[in-house]
Amino acid sequence: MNALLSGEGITKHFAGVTALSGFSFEVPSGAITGVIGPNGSGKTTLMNIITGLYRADRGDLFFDGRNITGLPPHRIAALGIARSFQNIRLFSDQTILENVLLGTHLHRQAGIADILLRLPRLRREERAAESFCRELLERFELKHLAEHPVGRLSYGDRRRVEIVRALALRPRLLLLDEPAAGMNATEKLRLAGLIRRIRDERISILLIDHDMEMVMRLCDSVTVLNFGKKLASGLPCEIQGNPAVREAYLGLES
Amino acid sequence: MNDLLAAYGNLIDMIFLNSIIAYSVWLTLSANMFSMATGGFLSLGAYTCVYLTMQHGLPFFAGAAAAALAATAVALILGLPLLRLRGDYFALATLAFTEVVRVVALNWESVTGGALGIFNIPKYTDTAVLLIVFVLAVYFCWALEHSPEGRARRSMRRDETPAAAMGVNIFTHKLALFAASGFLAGLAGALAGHLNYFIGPNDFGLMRTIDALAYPILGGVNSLAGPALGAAVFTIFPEFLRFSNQMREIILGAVFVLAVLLLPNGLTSFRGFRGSRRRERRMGVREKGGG
Ligand SMILES: Nc1ncnc2c1ncn2[C@@H]1O[C@H](COP(=O)(O)OP(=O)(O)O)[C@@H](O)[C@H]1O
Ligand SMILES: [Mg+2]
Repeated sequence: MNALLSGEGITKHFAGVTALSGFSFEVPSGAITGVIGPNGSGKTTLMNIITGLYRADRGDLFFDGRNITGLPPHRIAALGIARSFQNIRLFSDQTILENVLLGTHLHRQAGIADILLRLPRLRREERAAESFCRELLERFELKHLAEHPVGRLSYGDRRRVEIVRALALRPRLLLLDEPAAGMNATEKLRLAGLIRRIRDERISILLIDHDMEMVMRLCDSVTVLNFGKKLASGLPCEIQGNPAVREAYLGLES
Repeated sequence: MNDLLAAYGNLIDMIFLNSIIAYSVWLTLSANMFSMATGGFLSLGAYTCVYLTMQHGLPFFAGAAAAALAATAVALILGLPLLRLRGDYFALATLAFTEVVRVVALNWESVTGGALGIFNIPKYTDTAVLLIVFVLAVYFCWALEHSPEGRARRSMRRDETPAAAMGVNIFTHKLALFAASGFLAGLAGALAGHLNYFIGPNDFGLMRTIDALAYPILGGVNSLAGPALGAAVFTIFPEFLRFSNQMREIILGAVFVLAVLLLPNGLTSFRGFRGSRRRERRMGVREKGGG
């Protein structure tokens, strides 16, 4: 299978801490790829480097055969890479619909003349964007919340809204950073269904989590990070039986 | 009686002029730019326009347009490096710009009249012109707000990281808004130059810049009515405090501090000034209990 996204020798230091060291990975097209690792193993750092929020000290990133190392976040988004955040970052003063609408930002065509003269193109485009976002919310059973402010939503709903906002970008690759964190069993089940549906719509997914169960259930392949290094990678069943992985996890969680 | 009319006419002119300046400042504040370049742009606009009309015989309209464009160009040149700075350094650097413009105005006698300033400037700016520019400025801001660019602006004001992750080019947005702010301030400067028969280098310094910042902050940054409201109150209020110059500064300062401390959305926090719930949300007014 062709890799949609791949990284080679990604290294990142923070004052005194090596968050990632020589980490290489591949995210194949059309699949759900998992990255797991204990807390502090460098998962979020990896995601921030992919999305251009941080710059790797060393290493290269390739997306669809193109070197994307060091591109700023908005350029990464324009390539079709969307993300969620571990600590949910919705715009808390806006409604759910407005949050999701920002996802259509890159698809806007109206220029300054359309805006200042309020030409029909602007209104047509805004109407189209709004109905697109409402449809998206409907498909993920969030339609009834469209006009709600973020503040009134449950934690699980906020996570789902953030994922829908990312989908409004019409991405080719979706990066999810611990999407199940803080969810109860029912919410997790629902989330798993949602992630599968996204995959079925041919959006590739990189799922980052420290919760083994979720990743094992959903992913087609898994890479394990420990102290910024690759510990193992393979099929979920292979990873589950890997003694080194068990030790890293049990050693830290006991 | 005539004196009274003249006095109020002047006050109305000042309200419109300061409102235009308030929207210029709002364009930066509402995108997390604490710009102190306003005084510099005003000065640039005023001297450019007065120079062109008085020394080159250009019509007022052409001089004002040239003033606005000159300030826009300077804003672009200034913004390109300065907008890469951290917020507090950006504020300091723009303040330095305002100061540099003042010093240049003080010394470039052939154009600015030096420390004495320029006298006998023909009065071209009247209430009608001010009203037209004011309406256009409000319309400009309103149209921007009700467009995808406004949505991007509100999002990046709240949190730049997710906005960028959704594809918003933060730098370009800020640069464009800074340039638009320069345009409006340059135009306002041109209007100010032909309003009172006289301009001097100290008309547009630090104090003028701080006043300009106070308008939208006092009025409320999260509402389109805020800047005009703040400018009106900030212009009218001191008239009632004419009895003592010292008390005036103190009371004005105290009112300002209280407003900032007690009113999260400036004067537009009061019910009467708020629009419908829907419009309010569009403008991004904070919801109660919004997490
Ligand atoms: N912005 C930062 N500044 C300093 N240290 C950081 C920063 N981001 C992450 N780190 C450090 O890098 C290491 C990896 O963190 P992170 O990538 O967040 O781990 P994970 O997401 O796997 O829990 C941790 O030791 C963390 O403290
Ligand atoms: Mg993390």
